[in-house]
Amino acid sequence: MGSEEEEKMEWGLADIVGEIFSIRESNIAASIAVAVILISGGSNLYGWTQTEYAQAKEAATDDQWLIEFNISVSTMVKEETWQDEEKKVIEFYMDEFVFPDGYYIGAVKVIVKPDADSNGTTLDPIAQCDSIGANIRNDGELAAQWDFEDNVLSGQDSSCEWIILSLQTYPGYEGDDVNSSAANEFQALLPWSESGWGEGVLAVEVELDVNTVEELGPVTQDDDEDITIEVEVSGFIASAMLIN
Amino acid sequence: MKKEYYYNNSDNVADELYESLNELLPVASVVHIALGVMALVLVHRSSEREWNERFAGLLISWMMVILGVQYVFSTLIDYRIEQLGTDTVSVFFTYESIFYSWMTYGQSALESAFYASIAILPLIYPYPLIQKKNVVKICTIFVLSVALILVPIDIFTEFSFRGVKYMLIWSGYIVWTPVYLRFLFGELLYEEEGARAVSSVTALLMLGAYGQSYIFWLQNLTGVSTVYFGRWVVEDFVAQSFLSSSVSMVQLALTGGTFLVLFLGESWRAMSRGFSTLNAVVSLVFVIGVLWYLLTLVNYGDAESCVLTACQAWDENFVDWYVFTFQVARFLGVPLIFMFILLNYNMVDTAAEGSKMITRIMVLLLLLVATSSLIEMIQIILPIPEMITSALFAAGVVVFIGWEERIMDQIITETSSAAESVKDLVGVADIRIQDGEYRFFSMAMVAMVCYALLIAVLFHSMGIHS
Repeated sequence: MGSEEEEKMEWGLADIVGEIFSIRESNIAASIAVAVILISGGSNLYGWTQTEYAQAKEAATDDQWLIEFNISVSTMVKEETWQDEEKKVIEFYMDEFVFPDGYYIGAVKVIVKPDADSNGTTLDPIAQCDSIGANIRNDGELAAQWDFEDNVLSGQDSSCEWIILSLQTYPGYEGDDVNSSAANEFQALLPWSESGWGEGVLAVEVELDVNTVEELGPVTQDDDEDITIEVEVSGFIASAMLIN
Repeated sequence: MKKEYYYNNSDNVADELYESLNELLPVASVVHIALGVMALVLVHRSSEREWNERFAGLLISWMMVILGVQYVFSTLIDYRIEQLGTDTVSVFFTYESIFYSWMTYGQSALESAFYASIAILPLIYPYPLIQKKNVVKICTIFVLSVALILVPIDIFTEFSFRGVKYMLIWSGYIVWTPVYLRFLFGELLYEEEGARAVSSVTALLMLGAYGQSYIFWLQNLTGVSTVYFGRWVVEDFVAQSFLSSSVSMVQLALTGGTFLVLFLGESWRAMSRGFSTLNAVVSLVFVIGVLWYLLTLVNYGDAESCVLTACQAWDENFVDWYVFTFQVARFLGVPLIFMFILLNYNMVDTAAEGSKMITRIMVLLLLLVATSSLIEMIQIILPIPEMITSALFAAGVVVFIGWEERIMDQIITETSSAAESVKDLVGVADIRIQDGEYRFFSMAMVAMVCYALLIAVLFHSMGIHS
């Protein structure tokens, strides 16, 4: 370490490394450090390569799952009388529809049934069918898929037929089994376990326009109508079956 | 391809978490570039310094610039994710649209350039392993060659070999640790005069280069950190390859092991020579590492949720802790430490004509940015009104202006030269490096940055991954 070395123009790697490891005590400390690093690194590497990487890779790889829905339907019926040109909103509280535990509300079906006798009776054989218009109102009270394109939110009839309306409440639910791509059963079922959908108040607006033959109507004055509103709520619980 | 993962949290929580996640990025990019450029000017004026001091100063300055440009790309990505991520549950849903873009390519290319550069720092400073008269040429060719290969390969492989790329910084673990021990023992057992300058600058270099990893030292050493790697395999748009993640397991041990060496070494020195600022910094990192270990255990369920069930979002306070420790260490700690090394270890000639003013600007910039950023960070945790934080910042400015002269004097006068100490203690080859070689190195670094940027833009425009 004298002046001779200082004057050397170039040093070899062996000399340089030799200087770094020239103190015995520091070499012992360095050896202990290397041992700690080897033990820790070996342990990390073993755990990772033997189990953890495979587990993570498996979790990151999608499998195909068949999502099956077990469906339960709950129904509620309300019957009321409408006067001519009367418009009424009938409300159905969704929490009054009863489902087993763990079921989610998938869809709502509304059937508006006019009075069965309105198309002529023995007393008034020439009575005509009344015009009925029905809407499911979106007034923000019901959590549902209002923009779903297959919804039928309004209907009209003047031939005494039932008006059938439908509203999807749970995103993606159409009642049929679906295929899903997910890493495990939990993830496959996760999209079908969101609570909150279908909660609130369903408002059905019905308007009546009585059709009557005034000149010939002999006995009864047809200026009102009994209308039945039946609401069927489909609840579901999903299960996943591995396809491959 | 990236698939969609379900996160059991609300949109708003995820957005809030993300907003605070990279708050320091824009500041960090400006600070790194500004400090790097100013340091370059200072280094080029410091012709009287030892060759390895000057070369290391040059290298550190360029590393700062490259990091700054890299953070510019990170800022752009961050901004883009924020724009895209407003109506989604998780940021990972939106990442696909920018993963194969010039922004990610640019960030990764600059990162490769940074690793190519930092790989040679331990070989030249503080104890030069290459003592040849053509050392600058050798290092220049090495950096250019590595960058030339690494930049495109990293993009071709969809960044799935990051762990392998990070092996370049292992040179620091391998070289600096024995150098630190050699001079620490030399000082404490053999009373070698000037050895402390070498051991302290080596410790600081390790803290600067690996500080952001050292805060995880205990969980890295015990292997608890592997739970995050499992999560990243699931979460990442393109997961790290088996080789890459396996190599990272060794790096975890290197991080934990070498920090333990620093901590025990500094503790031993504190017991024998008294407490020092470096000892305080290392102790702080030690405590943060222990806390990180405990907090990882607390959040272990969230961490492994991706592998076992479905990814659970991190707890908001855990994210704040991450921002406060990792982001501060990375974006503020790194420039602070490297600039301190440049100024305090005599690598630049602060007394040279015009240099004093630049040094003064550097010091004030560092201190003010650090103060304002820390105040911002505190605001993440404590909802302090802006009026109060502005007042705090103003108070900080006043204190720094008042103390500026004292800080400057301390930096300029109370310096120690690690290179001189090495020369005196163990001797180094008497090498003369021409100014032209340093300029050649700088030109090579400019070329490397341009190459990285060009690759990023061209690969994107040619749609190599489409």
